[in-house]
Amino acid sequence: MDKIVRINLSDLSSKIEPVPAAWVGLGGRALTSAVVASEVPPACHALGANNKLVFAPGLLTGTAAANSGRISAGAKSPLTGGIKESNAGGTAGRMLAKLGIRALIVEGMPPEDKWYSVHLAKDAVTLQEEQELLGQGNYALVQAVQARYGKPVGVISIGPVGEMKMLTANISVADPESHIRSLGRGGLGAVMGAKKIKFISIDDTGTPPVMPKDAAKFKEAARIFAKTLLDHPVSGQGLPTYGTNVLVNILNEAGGLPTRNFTSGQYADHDKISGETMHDTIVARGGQPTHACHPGCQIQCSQVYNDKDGKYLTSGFEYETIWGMGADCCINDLDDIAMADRIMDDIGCDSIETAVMFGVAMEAGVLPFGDGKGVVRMLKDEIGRGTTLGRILGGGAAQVGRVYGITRVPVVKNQGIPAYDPRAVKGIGVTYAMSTMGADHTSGYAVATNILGVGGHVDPLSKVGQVELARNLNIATAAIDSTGMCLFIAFPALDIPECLSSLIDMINACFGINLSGDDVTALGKSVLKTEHAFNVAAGLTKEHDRLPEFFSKEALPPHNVLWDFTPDELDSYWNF
Amino acid sequence: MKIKLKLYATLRDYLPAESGGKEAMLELPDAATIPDALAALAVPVGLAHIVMINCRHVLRADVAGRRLMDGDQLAVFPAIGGG
Repeated sequence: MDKIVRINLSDLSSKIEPVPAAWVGLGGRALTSAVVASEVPPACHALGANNKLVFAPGLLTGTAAANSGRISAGAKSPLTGGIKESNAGGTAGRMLAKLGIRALIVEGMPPEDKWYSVHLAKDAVTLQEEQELLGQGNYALVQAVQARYGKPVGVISIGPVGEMKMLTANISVADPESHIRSLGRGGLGAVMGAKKIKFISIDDTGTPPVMPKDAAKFKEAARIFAKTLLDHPVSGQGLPTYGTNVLVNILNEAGGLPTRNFTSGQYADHDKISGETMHDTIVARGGQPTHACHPGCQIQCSQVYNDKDGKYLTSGFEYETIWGMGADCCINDLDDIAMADRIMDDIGCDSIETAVMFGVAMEAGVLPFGDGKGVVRMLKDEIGRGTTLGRILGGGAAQVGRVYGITRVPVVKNQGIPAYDPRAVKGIGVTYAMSTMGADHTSGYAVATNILGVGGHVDPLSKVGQVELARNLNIATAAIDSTGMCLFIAFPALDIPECLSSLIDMINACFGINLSGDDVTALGKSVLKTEHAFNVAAGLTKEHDRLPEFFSKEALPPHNVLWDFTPDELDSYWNF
Repeated sequence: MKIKLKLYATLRDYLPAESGGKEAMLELPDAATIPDALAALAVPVGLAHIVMINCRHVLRADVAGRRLMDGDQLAVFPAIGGG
């Protein structure tokens, strides 16, 4: 029986509730945003008692559908001041779905200065005080929690950065190998830290797989869907072979690889940090160039990166992290970047926000550009330990820019701009400006059509067609984020019609309903409108839907292009 | 004319051993096209999913007939993605 689990820290209670009619048929991002919009006062302090932290598996999470194992987390973001949804792989989403938990809502604040953990199992919700694991990094914490229960329970946790409520704090999710995936963006780890929840463990023992209402129809649709993932050259070959970091070289070639705190679109040492170099390094050291971040992932774009001695160093080592520490901070040593990635996962900070922040900090002279060892030291000894400097750096790019008086600060709604320069990849710039999430490439990945030749081609250097492209991709992504699907199914979905139709067929077979393609589009639009209304009520105006001034004043080499959208052009994004 | 052909990802397998594994300088007849350059290293045109000349995309429909100029940098990628 589907249910909502509610944990209230103010009175240390837990409740199991039926799913209200208004939330039936929602999952993932659609559900987290619906809960936040209906229960969180938009003007509340994100780190106060009135904010709520919501976890929700997607509509298809827990089924046999390929790539359906994502979990969403939502709250008011302490970084952007608006609504936030972030999603990740790992094992927790599937386990929540098997337990029938459509959403876990964490609310209130503890009356005393004590920390807690939550344990979810079949017909049992336990909230208990936690002392032993306070201060632990995520790697050791996952090991300790799974040892405590004697089995590979699902783990959702925060590291020291979340405990200290820094704005870069993320939430970690254990993957099938007990390594770390991240609900990365928007400072949701600080919200969990404000609730004083160190970790949530999930035991799905004794629960059956999620069974579709029409098993035969589901099985046939799932077969067609899986075939489209295999047939598309990006999801079937490109991503499994090289992972996401293959993008370094193509963004560099296109002149859209932000370098040295967004002062150039090309990085001289791009090949030293590229996906091709990383692939060869992983293979030579006995790592895994291909790896699934959650059970049932067919694309397997993740990897395991070993150190020079062949020992595990990190996994889920993604393009945006490598771009940020690499090109943006001019660190040309993949091992230094991998060590930084490992530490960021362990102390629990968003690797995009942190990398963008270091680019700003380097411009401010806090440390030199290219100082990989310095970054590693500051992550461990300053941010990880919460020194005064560490708390400044742990506040993210916008905070560091303000503290040091820097004007070239690449953020929208205070959130760091990821790995594609909006002057040279204009479609993604529209997404950065207009997304309800702040600067977030995943909310409308126009790079696919601007750079990668997926879903046609829209010239990345021209304004023509970019607002419409970004709008349509943001709508589609809001719907995909609600299904529990990995966003990378968008590559086949943009080119192979059967991908989307079989996805809808799976949802219909799972729930015994009859959605059309238009219904799915309407869901995406509804999610965006709900989120936008929350943001407006929270005080985020049209003027917040803009890129920083320097993008329209400083021409980006090699194309020497500026950001040149007018406010009216950007505002037309909301004409739907 | 001389052009520089840069190959990426799996296409690097087509580069000659002495090239260093990333790019090759090609001597081509005047009026050579993109397929002519690819043929010089036996790269199947069908694998050229993304093509750029001097950092600008060439539309897929234009690849077959697009003439190269002396000094051009031709970059060719198979189907790749990320994000």
